[in-house]
Amino acid sequence: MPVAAFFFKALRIFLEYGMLLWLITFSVRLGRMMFRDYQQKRKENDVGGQKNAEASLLILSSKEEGLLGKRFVFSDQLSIGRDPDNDIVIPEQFVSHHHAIVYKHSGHFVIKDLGSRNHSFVNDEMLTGSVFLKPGDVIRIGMVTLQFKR
Amino acid sequence: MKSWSLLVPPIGILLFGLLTLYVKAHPIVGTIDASSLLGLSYLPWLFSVIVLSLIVQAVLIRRHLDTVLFPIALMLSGVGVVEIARLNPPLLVAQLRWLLIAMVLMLILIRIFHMVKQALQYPYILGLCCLVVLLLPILFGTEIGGSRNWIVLGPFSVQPSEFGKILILFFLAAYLSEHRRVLSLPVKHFLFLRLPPLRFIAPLVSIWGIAVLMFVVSRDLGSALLFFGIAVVMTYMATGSKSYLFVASAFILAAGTVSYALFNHVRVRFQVWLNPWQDPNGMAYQIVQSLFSIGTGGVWGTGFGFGHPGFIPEVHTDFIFSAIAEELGLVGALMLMTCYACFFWRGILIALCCRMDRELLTAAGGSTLFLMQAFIIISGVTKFLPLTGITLPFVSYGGSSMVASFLLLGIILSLSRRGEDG
Repeated sequence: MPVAAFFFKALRIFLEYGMLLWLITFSVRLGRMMFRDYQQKRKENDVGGQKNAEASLLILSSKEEGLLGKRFVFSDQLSIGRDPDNDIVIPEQFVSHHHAIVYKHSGHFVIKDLGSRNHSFVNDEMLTGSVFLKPGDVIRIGMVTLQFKR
Repeated sequence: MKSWSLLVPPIGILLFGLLTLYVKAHPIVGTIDASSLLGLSYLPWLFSVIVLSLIVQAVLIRRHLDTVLFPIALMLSGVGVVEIARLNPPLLVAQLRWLLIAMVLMLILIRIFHMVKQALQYPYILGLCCLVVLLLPILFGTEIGGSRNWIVLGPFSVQPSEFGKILILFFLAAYLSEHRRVLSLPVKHFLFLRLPPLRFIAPLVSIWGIAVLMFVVSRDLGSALLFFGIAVVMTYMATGSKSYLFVASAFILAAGTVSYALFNHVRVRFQVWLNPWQDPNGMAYQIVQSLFSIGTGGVWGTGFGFGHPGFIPEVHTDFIFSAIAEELGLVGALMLMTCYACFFWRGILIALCCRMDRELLTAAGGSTLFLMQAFIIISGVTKFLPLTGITLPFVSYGGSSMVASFLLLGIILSLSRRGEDG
Protein backbone atom coordinates (compact mmCIF):
# COMPACT_ATOMS: atom_id res chain seq x y z
CA MET A 1 0.00 0.00 0.00
CA PRO A 2 2.05 2.89 -1.34
CA VAL A 3 -0.29 5.58 -0.01
CA ALA A 4 0.01 4.35 3.53
CA ALA A 5 3.76 4.00 3.20
CA PHE A 6 4.03 7.55 1.88
CA PHE A 7 1.85 8.81 4.67
CA PHE A 8 3.98 6.92 7.14
CA LYS A 9 7.19 8.37 5.83
CA ALA A 10 5.73 11.87 5.89
CA LEU A 11 4.73 11.35 9.49
CA ARG A 12 8.24 10.25 10.36
CA ILE A 13 9.84 13.26 8.69
CA PHE A 14 7.35 15.54 10.37
CA LEU A 15 8.19 14.04 13.75
CA GLU A 16 11.95 14.26 13.19
CA TYR A 17 11.95 17.89 12.22
CA GLY A 18 9.17 18.58 14.68
CA MET A 19 11.70 17.87 17.43
CA LEU A 20 14.03 20.46 16.05
CA LEU A 21 11.13 22.87 15.73
CA TRP A 22 10.16 22.36 19.36
CA LEU A 23 13.74 23.11 20.35
CA ILE A 24 13.79 26.29 18.28
CA THR A 25 10.36 27.39 19.53
CA PHE A 26 11.50 26.90 23.07
CA SER A 27 14.69 28.90 22.71
CA VAL A 28 13.01 31.73 20.85
CA ARG A 29 10.18 31.96 23.33
CA LEU A 30 12.60 31.78 26.23
CA GLY A 31 14.80 34.49 24.82
CA ARG A 32 11.87 36.78 24.06
CA MET A 33 10.32 36.28 27.46
CA MET A 34 13.53 36.92 29.35
CA PHE A 35 14.38 39.95 27.27
CA ARG A 36 10.93 41.39 27.91
CA ASP A 37 11.35 40.69 31.62
CA TYR A 38 14.66 42.46 31.60
CA GLN A 39 13.34 45.52 29.79
CA GLN A 40 10.37 45.75 32.10
CA LYS A 41 12.60 45.55 35.14
CA ARG A 42 14.91 48.19 33.74
CA LYS A 43 11.99 50.50 33.10
CA GLU A 44 10.76 49.96 36.64
CA ASN A 45 14.23 50.68 38.00
CA ASP A 46 14.50 53.88 35.97
CA VAL A 47 11.18 55.16 37.24
CA GLY A 48 11.99 54.03 40.76
CA GLY A 49 15.41 55.63 40.66
CA GLN A 50 14.05 59.05 39.81
CA LYS A 51 11.11 59.02 42.14
CA ASN A 52 12.68 57.42 45.16
CA ALA A 53 16.03 59.06 45.60
CA GLU A 54 15.00 59.56 49.22
CA ALA A 55 14.15 57.08 51.88
CA SER A 56 12.70 57.48 55.30
CA LEU A 57 12.62 55.72 58.63
CA LEU A 58 9.40 55.91 60.59
CA ILE A 59 9.50 55.19 64.31
CA LEU A 60 6.70 52.71 65.01
CA SER A 61 7.15 52.19 68.72
CA SER A 62 9.40 53.66 71.32
CA LYS A 63 9.40 54.42 75.04
CA GLU A 64 10.68 57.91 74.35
CA GLU A 65 7.79 60.30 73.75
CA GLY A 66 9.97 62.52 71.62
CA LEU A 67 10.73 59.79 69.13
CA LEU A 68 7.37 58.08 68.69
CA GLY A 69 5.79 58.59 65.29
CA LYS A 70 8.66 60.70 64.02
CA ARG A 71 9.80 60.29 60.43
CA PHE A 72 13.45 60.71 59.43
CA VAL A 73 13.93 61.44 55.76
CA PHE A 74 17.38 60.98 54.27
CA SER A 75 18.92 60.51 50.87
CA ASP A 76 22.50 59.49 51.53
CA GLN A 77 23.12 57.97 54.92
CA LEU A 78 21.75 57.95 58.40
CA SER A 79 23.31 56.80 61.64
CA ILE A 80 21.55 55.39 64.66
CA GLY A 81 22.93 55.20 68.20
CA ARG A 82 23.01 56.55 71.75
CA ASP A 83 25.70 59.17 71.05
CA PRO A 84 24.29 62.67 70.44
CA ASP A 85 26.19 63.01 67.14
CA ASN A 86 23.96 60.40 65.48
CA ASP A 87 21.09 61.28 63.15
CA ILE A 88 18.65 59.27 65.22
CA VAL A 89 19.56 59.41 68.89
CA ILE A 90 17.99 56.70 71.04
CA PRO A 91 18.83 57.39 74.66
CA GLU A 92 18.54 53.82 75.89
CA GLN A 93 21.07 51.69 77.69
CA PHE A 94 20.54 48.78 75.29
CA VAL A 95 21.69 50.88 72.38
CA SER A 96 25.37 51.27 71.60
CA HIS A 97 26.94 54.68 71.05
CA HIS A 98 27.18 54.05 67.33
CA HIS A 99 24.75 51.22 66.81
CA ALA A 100 23.91 50.94 63.15
CA ILE A 101 24.10 52.87 59.92
CA VAL A 102 21.83 52.96 56.86
CA TYR A 103 23.54 54.00 53.63
CA LYS A 104 22.90 54.05 49.93
CA HIS A 105 24.75 51.59 47.77
CA SER A 106 24.20 51.63 44.00
CA GLY A 107 20.58 52.72 44.20
CA HIS A 108 19.62 50.50 47.11
CA PHE A 109 19.72 51.16 50.81
CA VAL A 110 21.81 48.97 53.05
CA ILE A 111 21.69 48.66 56.82
CA LYS A 112 24.88 47.75 58.58
CA ASP A 113 25.36 46.88 62.21
CA LEU A 114 28.40 48.67 63.61
CA GLY A 115 29.31 45.88 66.01
CA SER A 116 26.67 46.81 68.56
CA ARG A 117 26.52 44.91 71.81
CA ASN A 118 22.82 44.09 71.74
CA HIS A 119 22.51 43.63 67.97
CA SER A 120 20.03 45.02 65.48
CA PHE A 121 17.14 43.04 64.05
CA VAL A 122 15.61 43.30 60.61
CA ASN A 123 12.19 41.64 60.37
CA ASP A 124 13.03 39.85 63.63
CA GLU A 125 16.14 38.32 62.18
CA MET A 126 19.44 39.19 63.77
CA LEU A 127 21.55 41.37 61.55
CA THR A 128 25.01 39.98 60.92
CA GLY A 129 27.06 42.30 58.80
CA SER A 130 24.94 44.24 56.37
CA VAL A 131 21.74 43.59 54.46
CA PHE A 132 19.76 45.32 51.72
CA LEU A 133 16.59 47.00 52.93
CA LYS A 134 13.30 46.68 51.10
CA PRO A 135 10.37 49.04 51.54
CA GLY A 136 8.33 48.00 54.54
CA ASP A 137 11.14 46.28 56.43
CA VAL A 138 10.91 46.60 60.18
CA ILE A 139 14.12 47.30 62.04
CA ARG A 140 14.40 46.83 65.80
CA ILE A 141 17.17 48.48 67.76
CA GLY A 142 16.99 48.27 71.55
CA MET A 143 13.35 48.88 72.46
CA VAL A 144 12.67 50.99 69.37
CA THR A 145 11.15 49.68 66.16
CA LEU A 146 11.53 51.58 62.94
CA GLN A 147 10.03 51.00 59.54
CA PHE A 148 11.98 51.59 56.36
CA LYS A 149 10.08 53.34 53.56
CA ARG A 150 10.95 54.62 50.13
CA MET B 1 -0.71 31.20 31.27
CA LYS B 2 2.86 32.03 30.50
CA SER B 3 4.43 29.87 33.18
CA TRP B 4 2.63 26.78 31.88
CA SER B 5 3.21 27.35 28.19
CA LEU B 6 6.96 26.97 28.63
CA LEU B 7 6.40 23.36 29.68
CA VAL B 8 4.84 22.41 26.34
CA PRO B 9 8.02 22.23 24.21
CA PRO B 10 9.94 19.90 26.58
CA ILE B 11 7.00 17.49 26.70
CA GLY B 12 6.59 17.87 22.96
CA ILE B 13 10.23 16.91 22.42
CA LEU B 14 9.84 13.84 24.61
CA LEU B 15 6.72 12.65 22.78
CA PHE B 16 7.93 13.47 19.27
CA GLY B 17 11.32 11.89 19.81
CA LEU B 18 10.03 8.67 21.30
CA LEU B 19 7.30 8.42 18.67
CA THR B 20 9.89 8.86 15.92
CA LEU B 21 11.88 6.01 17.38
CA TYR B 22 8.77 3.86 17.60
CA VAL B 23 7.80 4.56 14.02
CA LYS B 24 11.34 3.86 12.93
CA ALA B 25 11.44 0.57 14.78
CA HIS B 26 8.11 -0.64 13.30
CA PRO B 27 8.14 0.52 9.71
CA ILE B 28 5.20 -1.58 8.48
CA VAL B 29 1.79 -0.09 9.03
CA GLY B 30 -1.00 -2.07 10.58
CA THR B 31 1.07 -4.70 12.33
CA ILE B 32 0.46 -3.93 15.94
CA ASP B 33 1.12 -7.19 17.68
CA ALA B 34 2.28 -8.11 21.14
CA SER B 35 5.99 -8.00 20.33
CA SER B 36 5.87 -4.45 19.02
CA LEU B 37 3.99 -3.32 22.11
CA LEU B 38 6.68 -4.73 24.37
CA GLY B 39 8.88 -1.96 23.07
CA LEU B 40 6.57 0.47 24.83
CA SER B 41 7.25 -0.72 28.36
CA TYR B 42 8.68 2.70 29.16
CA LEU B 43 5.27 4.36 28.76
CA PRO B 44 4.32 4.31 32.47
CA TRP B 45 7.65 5.93 33.31
CA LEU B 46 7.21 8.54 30.60
CA PHE B 47 3.70 9.28 31.81
CA SER B 48 4.82 9.68 35.41
CA VAL B 49 7.67 11.98 34.37
CA ILE B 50 5.21 14.22 32.53
CA VAL B 51 2.75 14.24 35.42
CA LEU B 52 5.48 14.92 37.94
CA SER B 53 6.86 17.79 35.90
CA LEU B 54 3.39 19.36 35.87
CA ILE B 55 3.20 18.90 39.64
CA VAL B 56 6.63 20.49 40.09
CA GLN B 57 5.60 23.49 38.04
CA ALA B 58 2.38 23.80 40.07
CA VAL B 59 4.38 23.73 43.31
CA LEU B 60 6.77 26.36 41.97
CA ILE B 61 3.89 28.63 41.00
CA ARG B 62 2.18 28.18 44.34
CA ARG B 63 5.34 28.93 46.28
CA HIS B 64 6.07 32.01 44.11
CA LEU B 65 9.40 30.60 42.98
CA ASP B 66 11.00 31.11 39.61
CA THR B 67 9.08 29.33 36.83
CA VAL B 68 11.56 29.60 33.97
CA LEU B 69 14.50 27.56 35.22
CA PHE B 70 12.59 24.32 35.62
CA PRO B 71 11.25 24.21 32.04
CA ILE B 72 14.79 24.83 30.78
CA ALA B 73 16.09 21.93 32.88
CA LEU B 74 13.23 19.75 31.66
CA MET B 75 13.97 20.73 28.08
CA LEU B 76 17.60 19.70 28.45
CA SER B 77 16.65 16.45 30.17
CA GLY B 78 14.05 15.81 27.48
CA VAL B 79 16.62 16.14 24.72
CA GLY B 80 18.93 13.92 26.75
CA VAL B 81 16.29 11.22 27.34
CA VAL B 82 15.31 11.13 23.68
CA GLU B 83 18.92 10.94 22.54
CA ILE B 84 19.70 8.20 25.05
CA ALA B 85 16.66 6.24 23.86
CA ARG B 86 18.08 6.44 20.37
CA LEU B 87 21.69 5.65 21.29
CA ASN B 88 21.24 3.02 23.93
CA PRO B 89 17.59 1.87 24.25
CA PRO B 90 18.11 -0.34 27.35
CA LEU B 91 19.15 2.72 29.32
CA LEU B 92 15.96 4.65 28.54
CA VAL B 93 13.93 3.33 31.45
CA ALA B 94 16.86 3.83 33.81
CA GLN B 95 17.26 7.43 32.69
CA LEU B 96 13.53 8.14 33.04
CA ARG B 97 13.63 6.60 36.49
CA TRP B 98 16.58 8.77 37.50
CA LEU B 99 14.79 11.83 36.15
CA LEU B 100 11.79 10.92 38.28
CA ILE B 101 13.90 10.36 41.41
CA ALA B 102 15.78 13.59 40.81
CA MET B 103 12.57 15.61 40.51
CA VAL B 104 11.14 14.08 43.68
CA LEU B 105 14.35 14.85 45.57
CA MET B 106 14.25 18.39 44.23
CA LEU B 107 10.71 18.85 45.55
CA ILE B 108 11.78 17.55 48.96
CA LEU B 109 14.79 19.87 48.96
CA ILE B 110 12.60 22.87 48.13
CA ARG B 111 10.32 21.90 50.98
CA ILE B 112 13.06 21.58 53.61
CA PHE B 113 15.27 24.32 52.23
CA HIS B 114 14.85 26.55 55.28
CA MET B 115 16.68 23.86 57.26
CA VAL B 116 19.30 23.24 54.63
CA LYS B 117 19.98 26.96 54.59
CA GLN B 118 21.15 26.81 58.19
CA ALA B 119 24.16 24.84 57.01
CA LEU B 120 25.43 27.99 55.34
CA GLN B 121 26.33 29.32 58.77
CA TYR B 122 28.97 26.68 59.42
CA PRO B 123 31.62 27.11 56.74
CA TYR B 124 34.29 24.98 58.34
CA ILE B 125 32.06 21.97 58.90
CA LEU B 126 30.97 22.25 55.27
CA GLY B 127 34.59 22.47 54.24
CA LEU B 128 35.43 19.33 56.18
CA CYS B 129 32.47 17.42 54.69
CA CYS B 130 33.60 18.55 51.29
CA LEU B 131 37.13 17.30 51.89
CA VAL B 132 35.83 13.94 53.10
CA VAL B 133 33.51 13.52 50.11
CA LEU B 134 36.25 14.42 47.68
CA LEU B 135 38.84 12.21 49.34
CA LEU B 136 36.51 9.19 49.48
CA PRO B 137 36.98 8.14 45.86
CA ILE B 138 40.73 8.71 46.08
CA LEU B 139 40.90 6.29 49.00
CA PHE B 140 38.15 3.76 48.29
CA GLY B 141 37.33 4.51 44.68
CA THR B 142 36.69 2.05 41.90
CA GLU B 143 37.88 2.72 38.41
CA ILE B 144 35.13 2.90 35.80
CA GLY B 145 35.89 4.20 32.34
CA GLY B 146 39.41 5.36 33.01
CA SER B 147 38.89 7.58 36.02
CA ARG B 148 38.83 6.49 39.59
CA ASN B 149 35.94 8.58 40.82
CA TRP B 150 33.28 6.01 41.60
CA ILE B 151 32.20 4.41 44.83
CA VAL B 152 30.31 1.16 44.55
CA LEU B 153 27.65 0.62 47.21
CA GLY B 154 26.01 -2.70 46.51
CA PRO B 155 23.83 -2.28 43.43
CA PHE B 156 24.52 1.42 43.10
CA SER B 157 27.63 3.12 41.98
CA VAL B 158 27.84 6.72 43.04
CA GLN B 159 30.04 9.48 41.76
CA PRO B 160 30.82 11.47 44.90
CA SER B 161 32.36 14.38 43.03
CA GLU B 162 28.91 15.18 41.59
CA PHE B 163 27.59 15.76 45.09
CA GLY B 164 30.86 17.25 46.23
CA LYS B 165 30.23 20.16 43.93
CA ILE B 166 27.10 21.13 45.86
CA LEU B 167 29.05 20.96 49.11
CA ILE B 168 31.90 22.99 47.69
CA LEU B 169 29.41 25.59 46.48
CA PHE B 170 27.93 25.87 49.98
CA PHE B 171 31.35 25.98 51.58
CA LEU B 172 32.61 28.70 49.27
CA ALA B 173 29.47 30.78 49.70
CA ALA B 174 29.60 30.50 53.49
CA TYR B 175 33.32 31.07 53.78
CA LEU B 176 33.58 33.91 51.30
CA SER B 177 30.59 35.83 52.63
CA GLU B 178 32.05 35.64 56.12
CA HIS B 179 35.52 36.72 55.17
CA ARG B 180 34.84 38.93 52.22
CA ARG B 181 35.99 42.08 54.04
CA VAL B 182 39.31 40.55 55.01
CA LEU B 183 39.82 39.01 51.62
CA SER B 184 39.20 42.22 49.76
CA LEU B 185 41.37 44.27 52.09
CA PRO B 186 44.83 43.90 50.59
CA VAL B 187 47.63 43.88 53.10
CA LYS B 188 50.66 42.34 51.49
CA HIS B 189 52.04 43.49 48.20
CA PHE B 190 53.80 40.94 46.10
CA LEU B 191 55.00 42.21 42.73
CA PHE B 192 51.84 43.81 41.29
CA LEU B 193 49.54 41.55 43.30
CA ARG B 194 47.80 42.60 46.46
CA LEU B 195 47.05 39.72 48.78
CA PRO B 196 45.55 39.34 52.23
CA PRO B 197 47.42 37.43 54.94
CA LEU B 198 48.10 33.83 54.09
CA ARG B 199 45.86 32.27 56.72
CA PHE B 200 42.76 33.78 55.11
CA ILE B 201 43.44 32.34 51.71
CA ALA B 202 44.61 28.99 53.07
CA PRO B 203 41.17 27.32 52.60
CA LEU B 204 41.08 28.48 49.00
CA VAL B 205 44.57 27.21 48.35
CA SER B 206 43.63 23.88 49.89
CA ILE B 207 40.66 23.58 47.51
CA TRP B 208 42.95 24.24 44.59
CA GLY B 209 45.30 21.62 45.97
CA ILE B 210 42.49 19.06 46.28
CA ALA B 211 41.48 19.75 42.70
CA VAL B 212 44.99 19.05 41.49
CA LEU B 213 45.15 15.91 43.64
CA MET B 214 41.88 14.68 42.13
CA PHE B 215 43.29 15.29 38.72
CA VAL B 216 46.51 13.44 39.34
CA VAL B 217 45.41 10.55 41.54
CA SER B 218 41.91 9.73 40.33
CA ARG B 219 42.49 11.04 36.78
CA ASP B 220 39.28 13.02 36.99
CA LEU B 221 40.39 16.02 35.00
CA GLY B 222 36.88 17.33 34.36
CA SER B 223 35.81 17.58 37.98
CA ALA B 224 39.20 18.95 38.95
CA LEU B 225 38.85 21.74 36.42
CA LEU B 226 35.29 22.40 37.54
CA PHE B 227 36.20 22.62 41.23
CA PHE B 228 39.19 24.80 40.57
CA GLY B 229 37.21 27.06 38.27
CA ILE B 230 34.29 27.49 40.63
CA ALA B 231 36.64 28.34 43.52
CA VAL B 232 38.34 31.01 41.43
CA VAL B 233 35.14 32.46 39.99
CA MET B 234 33.37 32.62 43.33
CA THR B 235 36.37 34.26 44.99
CA TYR B 236 36.32 36.83 42.25
CA MET B 237 32.57 37.37 42.60
CA ALA B 238 32.89 37.85 46.36
CA THR B 239 35.92 40.11 46.46
CA GLY B 240 36.13 41.72 43.05
CA SER B 241 39.91 41.51 43.25
CA LYS B 242 41.73 40.41 40.13
CA SER B 243 44.83 39.41 42.07
CA TYR B 244 43.21 36.07 42.86
CA LEU B 245 42.73 35.37 39.17
CA PHE B 246 46.42 35.93 38.55
CA VAL B 247 47.49 33.82 41.51
CA ALA B 248 45.09 31.03 40.47
CA SER B 249 46.23 30.99 36.87
CA ALA B 250 49.86 30.90 37.98
CA PHE B 251 48.97 28.04 40.29
CA ILE B 252 47.18 26.01 37.61
CA LEU B 253 49.96 26.65 35.11
CA ALA B 254 52.58 25.44 37.57
CA ALA B 255 50.50 22.39 38.53
CA GLY B 256 49.83 21.63 34.87
CA THR B 257 53.50 21.85 33.92
CA VAL B 258 54.59 19.64 36.80
CA SER B 259 51.98 16.98 36.11
CA TYR B 260 52.75 17.11 32.39
CA ALA B 261 56.36 16.35 33.18
CA LEU B 262 55.62 13.64 35.73
CA PHE B 263 52.57 11.69 34.58
CA ASN B 264 52.05 9.84 31.39
CA HIS B 265 48.25 10.04 31.22
CA VAL B 266 48.40 13.83 31.37
CA ARG B 267 50.88 13.92 28.53
CA VAL B 268 48.65 11.63 26.44
CA ARG B 269 45.61 13.84 27.00
CA PHE B 270 47.51 16.91 26.03
CA GLN B 271 49.06 15.43 22.89
CA VAL B 272 45.71 14.05 21.76
CA TRP B 273 44.31 17.54 22.07
CA LEU B 274 47.14 19.23 20.18
CA ASN B 275 47.22 16.77 17.33
CA PRO B 276 44.64 13.99 17.25
CA TRP B 277 45.67 12.97 13.73
CA GLN B 278 48.88 11.40 14.97
CA ASP B 279 47.01 8.40 16.26
CA PRO B 280 43.41 8.56 15.00
CA ASN B 281 42.71 4.89 15.60
CA GLY B 282 44.28 4.57 19.00
CA MET B 283 44.46 7.19 21.73
CA ALA B 284 42.59 9.83 19.77
CA TYR B 285 39.86 7.54 18.45
CA GLN B 286 37.14 9.01 20.64
CA ILE B 287 37.81 12.65 19.85
CA VAL B 288 38.36 12.00 16.15
CA GLN B 289 35.04 10.15 15.87
CA SER B 290 33.35 12.94 17.77
CA LEU B 291 34.72 15.53 15.33
CA PHE B 292 33.61 13.43 12.36
CA SER B 293 30.17 13.08 13.79
CA ILE B 294 29.77 16.81 14.46
CA GLY B 295 31.00 17.49 10.94
CA THR B 296 28.56 15.03 9.39
CA GLY B 297 25.67 16.82 11.06
CA GLY B 298 26.11 20.03 9.13
CA VAL B 299 23.65 22.86 9.69
CA TRP B 300 20.34 21.01 9.86
CA GLY B 301 21.63 17.63 11.01
CA THR B 302 21.19 14.17 9.56
CA GLY B 303 17.73 13.87 11.06
CA PHE B 304 16.91 12.28 14.36
CA GLY B 305 17.76 8.58 14.27
CA PHE B 306 19.62 8.79 10.97
CA GLY B 307 23.13 9.63 12.09
CA HIS B 308 25.83 7.20 13.07
CA PRO B 309 26.97 8.47 16.45
CA GLY B 310 27.37 4.88 17.62
CA PHE B 311 31.00 4.95 16.55
CA ILE B 312 31.97 7.18 19.44
CA PRO B 313 32.79 5.27 22.61
CA GLU B 314 30.86 6.46 25.69
CA VAL B 315 28.52 8.43 23.47
CA HIS B 316 25.58 8.37 25.87
CA THR B 317 27.46 10.06 28.74
CA ASP B 318 30.33 12.36 27.96
CA PHE B 319 29.90 12.57 24.21
CA ILE B 320 26.15 13.04 24.04
CA PHE B 321 26.69 16.53 22.70
CA SER B 322 28.39 15.18 19.58
CA ALA B 323 25.46 12.84 18.97
CA ILE B 324 22.99 15.71 19.34
CA ALA B 325 25.11 17.91 17.09
CA GLU B 326 25.14 15.17 14.45
CA GLU B 327 21.44 14.39 14.46
CA LEU B 328 19.96 17.83 15.15
CA GLY B 329 22.74 19.73 13.44
CA LEU B 330 24.31 23.07 14.20
CA VAL B 331 20.86 24.51 14.84
CA GLY B 332 20.04 21.98 17.53
CA ALA B 333 23.44 22.32 19.14
CA LEU B 334 23.17 26.10 19.20
CA MET B 335 19.69 25.93 20.70
CA LEU B 336 21.01 23.61 23.38
CA MET B 337 23.75 26.08 24.22
CA THR B 338 21.19 28.89 24.20
CA CYS B 339 19.29 26.96 26.85
CA TYR B 340 22.40 26.84 29.05
CA ALA B 341 23.06 30.52 28.47
CA CYS B 342 19.48 31.46 29.39
CA PHE B 343 19.73 29.24 32.44
CA PHE B 344 22.83 31.11 33.55
CA TRP B 345 21.26 34.50 32.84
CA ARG B 346 18.16 33.64 34.81
CA GLY B 347 20.27 32.27 37.67
CA ILE B 348 22.28 35.49 37.86
CA LEU B 349 19.05 37.53 37.84
CA ILE B 350 17.85 35.45 40.78
CA ALA B 351 21.16 35.97 42.55
CA LEU B 352 20.91 39.73 42.13
CA CYS B 353 17.54 39.70 43.88
CA CYS B 354 18.93 37.86 46.93
CA ARG B 355 19.48 39.98 49.95
CA MET B 356 22.03 38.08 52.01
CA ASP B 357 25.61 37.84 50.81
CA ARG B 358 25.77 34.11 51.20
CA GLU B 359 22.52 33.47 49.37
CA LEU B 360 23.63 35.72 46.57
CA LEU B 361 26.91 33.86 46.28
CA THR B 362 25.17 30.47 46.40
CA ALA B 363 22.75 31.33 43.60
CA ALA B 364 25.37 32.98 41.42
CA GLY B 365 27.87 30.22 42.04
CA GLY B 366 25.30 27.52 41.31
CA SER B 367 24.36 28.99 37.96
CA THR B 368 28.03 29.48 37.12
CA LEU B 369 28.62 25.83 37.99
CA PHE B 370 26.10 24.67 35.37
CA LEU B 371 27.45 26.96 32.70
CA MET B 372 31.03 26.03 33.47
CA GLN B 373 30.31 22.31 33.44
CA ALA B 374 28.51 22.58 30.11
CA PHE B 375 31.35 24.70 28.74
CA ILE B 376 34.05 22.28 29.87
CA ILE B 377 32.46 19.23 28.27
CA ILE B 378 31.24 20.96 25.11
CA SER B 379 34.65 22.49 24.54
CA GLY B 380 36.13 19.07 25.26
CA VAL B 381 34.14 17.18 22.64
CA THR B 382 34.67 19.91 20.05
CA LYS B 383 38.43 19.89 20.79
CA PHE B 384 38.48 23.49 21.93
CA LEU B 385 40.08 22.43 25.22
CA PRO B 386 41.74 19.14 26.16
CA LEU B 387 39.07 16.50 26.58
CA THR B 388 37.87 16.02 30.13
CA GLY B 389 35.47 13.36 31.24
CA ILE B 390 32.51 15.11 32.80
CA THR B 391 28.79 14.90 32.23
CA LEU B 392 26.74 17.44 30.34
CA PRO B 393 24.39 18.64 33.11
CA PHE B 394 20.79 17.35 32.71
CA VAL B 395 21.49 15.83 29.30
CA SER B 396 24.02 13.03 29.85
CA TYR B 397 23.07 9.61 31.06
CA GLY B 398 23.87 9.09 34.74
CA GLY B 399 22.03 8.91 38.02
CA SER B 400 24.50 10.83 40.18
CA SER B 401 24.78 13.60 37.67
CA MET B 402 21.00 13.88 37.18
CA VAL B 403 20.24 13.91 40.91
CA ALA B 404 23.03 16.36 41.72
CA SER B 405 21.98 18.71 38.92
CA PHE B 406 18.36 18.74 40.03
CA LEU B 407 19.37 19.27 43.67
CA LEU B 408 21.47 22.23 42.61
CA LEU B 409 18.54 23.50 40.56
CA GLY B 410 16.35 23.09 43.65
CA ILE B 411 18.76 25.24 45.66
CA ILE B 412 18.74 28.01 43.06
CA LEU B 413 14.94 27.81 42.81
CA SER B 414 14.49 28.02 46.57
CA LEU B 415 16.60 31.16 46.65
CA SER B 416 14.39 32.76 44.01
CA ARG B 417 11.46 33.34 46.35
CA ARG B 418 10.14 36.80 45.72
CA GLY B 419 9.69 39.05 48.73
CA GLU B 420 6.36 40.21 50.09
CA ASP B 421 6.29 43.12 47.67
CA GLY B 422 6.38 40.75 44.69
